[in-house]
Formats: sequence, structure tokens, C-alpha cells
Amino acid sequence: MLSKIGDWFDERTGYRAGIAKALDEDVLGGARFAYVFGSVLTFLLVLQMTTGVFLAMYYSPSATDAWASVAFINDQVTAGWFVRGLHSHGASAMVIVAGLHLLQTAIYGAYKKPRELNWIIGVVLLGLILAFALTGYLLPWDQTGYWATQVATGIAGTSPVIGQQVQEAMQAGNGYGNLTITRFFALHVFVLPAILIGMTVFHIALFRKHHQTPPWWLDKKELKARTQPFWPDQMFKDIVAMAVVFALLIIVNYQTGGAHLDAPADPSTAFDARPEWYFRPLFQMLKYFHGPMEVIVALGAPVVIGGVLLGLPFVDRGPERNPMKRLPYLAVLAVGIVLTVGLTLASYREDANNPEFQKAAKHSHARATKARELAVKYGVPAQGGPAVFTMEPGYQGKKLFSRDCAGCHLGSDRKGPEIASGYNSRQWISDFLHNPAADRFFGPTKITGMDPVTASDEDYAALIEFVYAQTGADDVNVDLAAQGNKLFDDGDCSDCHASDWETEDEVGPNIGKRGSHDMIKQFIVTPNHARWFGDKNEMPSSKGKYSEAELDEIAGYILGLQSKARNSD
Amino acid sequence: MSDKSKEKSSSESKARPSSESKENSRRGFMKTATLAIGGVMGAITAVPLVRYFLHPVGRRMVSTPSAPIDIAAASDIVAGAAPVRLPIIASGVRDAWNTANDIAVGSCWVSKSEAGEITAYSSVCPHLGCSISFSEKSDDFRCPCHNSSFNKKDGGRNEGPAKRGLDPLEIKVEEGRVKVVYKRYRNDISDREPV
Ligand code: FES
Repeated sequence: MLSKIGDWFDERTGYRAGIAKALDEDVLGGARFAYVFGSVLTFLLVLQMTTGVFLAMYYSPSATDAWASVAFINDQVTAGWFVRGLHSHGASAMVIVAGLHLLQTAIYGAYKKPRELNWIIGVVLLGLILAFALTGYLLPWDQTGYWATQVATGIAGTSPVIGQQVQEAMQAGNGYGNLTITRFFALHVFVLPAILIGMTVFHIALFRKHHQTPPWWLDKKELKARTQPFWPDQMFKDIVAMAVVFALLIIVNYQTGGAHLDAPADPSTAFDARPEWYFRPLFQMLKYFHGPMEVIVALGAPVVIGGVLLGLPFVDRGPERNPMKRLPYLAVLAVGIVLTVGLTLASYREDANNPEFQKAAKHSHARATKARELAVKYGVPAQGGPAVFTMEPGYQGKKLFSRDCAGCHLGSDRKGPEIASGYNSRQWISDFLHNPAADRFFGPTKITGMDPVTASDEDYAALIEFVYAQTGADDVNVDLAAQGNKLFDDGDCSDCHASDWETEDEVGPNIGKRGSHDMIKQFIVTPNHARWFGDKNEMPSSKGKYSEAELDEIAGYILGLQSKARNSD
Repeated sequence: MSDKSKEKSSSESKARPSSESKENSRRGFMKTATLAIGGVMGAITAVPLVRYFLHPVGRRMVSTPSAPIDIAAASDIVAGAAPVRLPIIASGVRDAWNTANDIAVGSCWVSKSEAGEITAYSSVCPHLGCSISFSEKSDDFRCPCHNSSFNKKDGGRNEGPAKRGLDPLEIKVEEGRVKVVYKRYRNDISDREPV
């Protein structure tokens, strides 16, 4: 059945002969692992295209949506982190394997006549891979991509004469925005792939025309004698290499938890931008040059590197392919490699030894984690990535608090007790009980009459726990609080205070549920309630001022202060 | 494939006729192994990709809050008048990665009986989802797509390909405001199956 279908197609397409022809290739001197790099690159290219297409199913190239959609892929779509991780690490793999491919070609002298053109195409392909990396880095529109790409377009902007025009053409306008991302996206998924695929086909066609460059150490007779067919001898080695690279990719992907995603791009924040590792040498080099030299190096270095590589086959021209006899030429490459590795290491070392950078990195990591958690839980507001922080419970509350409450409850001109980080924490309660009339507490108010509490340390702890328990905190020591409750009822406290929420018109406020979410809400609406201070309280009522949701927000914010260390804001 | 000639030439180099069959079985192994490794790699890639692709299937990618949505003041709806189309504008709509307020998620046809009872029908045609309109001329609901028509009184099907009547939406009147519980149902079946 299957073969019948095959026959039908073969009669109409001749595909069998086609495949046979594609596989029919002599490998002069025998199959070798040295030849696998091209095939591995082809494999990686297919993997990049596949994962890229799948990423595009969920990705949205707009300044307001990009980060949110990538965070969605990464944190919510089934296997999204895996697909994105493969794509991102796959790009790194391509750079590495392309480097190895270039090295193998150089060592074998494979750029020599008649293969110079194919070497040139290869160098251009390497440039294309880097262009992919550069454009792709911006697409998540996270802090890293945003700021690192600013450096890249900034460098372009320093080009002589037309710098500004070049920069504006790259970023599409006077600054980064929707058009920057649509432009980078179009380049990354349409323009560059078209060129890359076209040139790769050309590259492989030329390779098939000239065949692989055999080992230099074997003479003609020997080469012929050892010749093996591409299929399956070389193909087997190729696929083994692909499998090894693929396995490494998957391991790295699992170990890193996929690709990095920073907090959403936010032009208003400080950020220590770092490029992808393969641009580190260029990045590092710029640190050593200032003034006019900076421009020359930034723009000149890629030109020099490209020029040296492109020029190689025209300088090293003789038929000699033994690397030992071409040392001066290969030495140029070696120097380049040493410089690249050295600069890269220097760059990472500098960062590792820079406590400021480490601190900033830690901070941005925490911000990224927060942003991604909020995005999963609440979604990202349509205003764009950084607006995700406004979804944090208490954010709106903080805004309302700053607007309406802070005047009396924060700062030195307070008219009421201070409401700041640590409010209603155990420490706060302890401080209060030790000195209720202190400036932080009732000092600025007309409410007086409470004496400092005197008790043994042990009893103090119990009382604090009892008052703390009223807030509904989830880390209450129940036994200790019960002990405190007993002290409260049996001792002086209950002379002035009830603790049941219901009782009104006592000398002091009812402390039942004091500092809990409900209590705070009600207190804001009716601060003069007879349950608490009655008309002694100068705090104005906010009845009707806030929606239920807004009250929840404010209460949420105030409650959130409890677990923060004092003066931590 | 000109495999054979090649194998011959390379086995000739080994100069041992007995090694030819060995060579053949070695190549046979390599061919099988190559295809097997390729297949495994393809499968390892395909499984997560398929799961990734199917992620939205059976999940609510666009979701509206379940709370009733305010659509009008009860007093604005005239008793006994022809039904009016009112937009349903939700706050807190989640659309994949986004959350947004004041998003129009649909509309409904609302009317008030002489007795003051308010009813609302989803404007989504139960046939294939076109938008229902109300015809003053024939005094019934009509779908412009395939000419289904529905009774003004109870939304029941009059004629056309629709398999059920219009989908009523639950109405709540609270403090003088009309609120609707927005729901969508599967197309083109006679039962109402929420989606
Ligand atoms: S969609 Fe309304 S009749 Fe077909």
C-alpha cells in the first residue's frame, strides 16, 4: 500500500531519483567527524525556524504587548518555556557551531581555490547569524533586550556623517517604540530568514559542486582508497553529532529553566545592560577606548574582523593546505580567538568583581520575578509591560494612601499616628505599649489617657501576641496569644478596653479585630464609631468617598506594611 | 543509488572479500541508526510543540468576570417598547496575556414588558454566530446571515436554519440598575451548552 502510494508520487515527481542523487556523494578520504559542522548548523537552522514559527503563534510585536506575550509563552503556555528556551539557546549553539565550522574550514585550508566564494558566503552567513541574534534580543522587550539594543543602535548612531540617519532607520524614528519592534520583528522573521535560507542553499550547492576538502596529510591514492559514500557513512556521523548537540541543548535548557526573561522594558529605570555573551568582546572593548577612538573601534572592529576573514583566501593563496606550513595565516585567527576569549573573560570577571553590578543584577532579578508572577496572576494591563506592577495588591491602595492619608499619617507634620512599614507588627505593638504617647503614636493627636504598660518580659510577649492576633496575621502563636488574652482580661487592660468588637463606649477603643482588613476598612469609613474613639477622634470620615474595591486596596496596603521592616521603604 | 559500486570500491581497498558482507551490515546498521536517531529527535521536538500548539484548546483564553455586568438604568428601558440593543461592557477582561477594563464583549437585546419585567437575549445567533437584529417591519428578531427569525415574545425560533431560539441572558435589577450575566453557548445545537 505504502509503496504503491510511493510509486504514484515517484512516477509524477521522480523523487526517488532525486533523493538518491542528493545522497549520492563520495567522501574523498572517508567520512569524518571533522565534517559534521555544516550538517549540525543545518539542523540547528531547521530547529530555529521551527521553534521560531511556533513562538510567533503567541508572540505579539508591539511595545505594549511584546513583554506580556513573551511572559505568557514562558510562564503559562504548555511547554512554552521549553520552546522559547530551545530557540534562545539554539541561537547560542548556532554561534558556537558556526565558529567551529569556520575553524575547521580554515585549518583544512578549505577556503582555497576554487572554494573562495563559498568561504565568503560562509563569512556572510556568520554575520547573518549575529544579525539574527541582535534583532531577536530586542523582541521580548524586556529590560536586558531593551537596554542592550540601545547600545547597539547607539553605536550605529556614531557613524560618521549619516550616523543619526542610520540610527533612526534602525530604530524607526527618534526613539524606541512600536515601530522599533515591528521593524526588528520583520527583519528577524521575514527578511533575515529569506536571505539566510537563500545563501545557505547557495552555500550547500557550492559545497556539493566542489565537495568537501579532504585531509591534507593523505596523498591522492590513499584518499581514493579510503573514499566512503556520504550515505550512510558521513550521514551517520552527522546525525550522531546533531544528536549530541541536541542533547546538550536540551540539558542546558532544562538546567537554565529556559531562556532568561527580565522585567518589562522601562525607560524610567536604571538598568545595567549586558549584551548576549557572543557580543561581550565588542562590548568589553569599548570600555578601553574613549573620545574619537571609541567610534573608530566600535565601527572599525567588526569591519576589520570581517575584512580579515573575507581576505584570508586571497592572501593565503598557494595550494599548500598543511596548517603547519600556513602558520602565519592561522596565527591571525589564533590571535583573534585569544583576543575574543580574553575580552569575554575580562568582561565577565569585571562583572563578577563588581559588587554594584551584582547588587543591581539581584535587584533586577527580583523585579523580573515579581513582574512575571503578577502577569500570571492578574494579566498585564493594556498600557504595557511596566504597568504590570500596578496590578500588585496594595499598589492602588498605596496610591490612594499617599494621596489621601499620608498627609496626616506620614512625615513630621503628622496629625495622627505614623502609618509606615512595620505598622501593626509585633515590634510596633511593643513600642506602642511601652509608650503610647510617643510622637509615633498618639503624640500628635488629642487622644490621651493611656499609660505605658508595665509587665514582665514574659507577660509582655503574651500581650503583644494577643494584640497581634487581632490583625488576623497568619503567623500567630496561638498558645501565647491565649495566654495574653487571659492577662488582658484579668489585668488592667480590660478596665478600659473591650476586645470583642461589639462593645461600645468604653474608656478606650475596643481592640477586637484591631488592624485586620475589615477593621481598617470600617475605621476609614467611620473613624468616630463608638466602638473606637468616638468623637475624640479627629480623623475625618471617608464615608462614600471610596468604592468597596478602593477600600480593599487601602486596607490591603496598610496590612501589607505589617510584614515590612520599619524604615524599609 | 549507486551505493553498490561505491561499496565495492571501498571494500576493494580493504582487499578482503570476506569483509564485504561485514561492510554491508555495518552500512545497514548505520542507515537504520541514522533514521532511528533522526526519528527520536523529531519526536522529542514534536511532542512539546504539539502540546504547545494545543495549549488554548479547552482553556478560557478570553474570560470575563462572572459578576453581573451593569448595562443600563432600569428606568431607561421603556415598558412595552421594541427591544433595544445594549452593549455589554465588561471590566477586568482577561485576553491571553492582557487584562483590560471597559471592553465590549458583546451585546444583548433588552425589553421590558408592560408588567415591568425585563428580559434580555444574547445578540449572538444560535445558528452560526452572526449578530441578530430586530426588524420593526416584521416585529421579530432576524439574523441577516441565513435568515433565521425569532419570536419577539419569548425568543423562540420562528423559521430558518437555527436549531434553537435566542439565548436568554440572566438579568438582575439591583438598586435601579440592570445587570446581565454574560454567557455564550455552543453554536448550531438544539441544547444550550455554555462555552
Ligand atoms: S448565523 Fe444566524 S442564521 Fe445563520
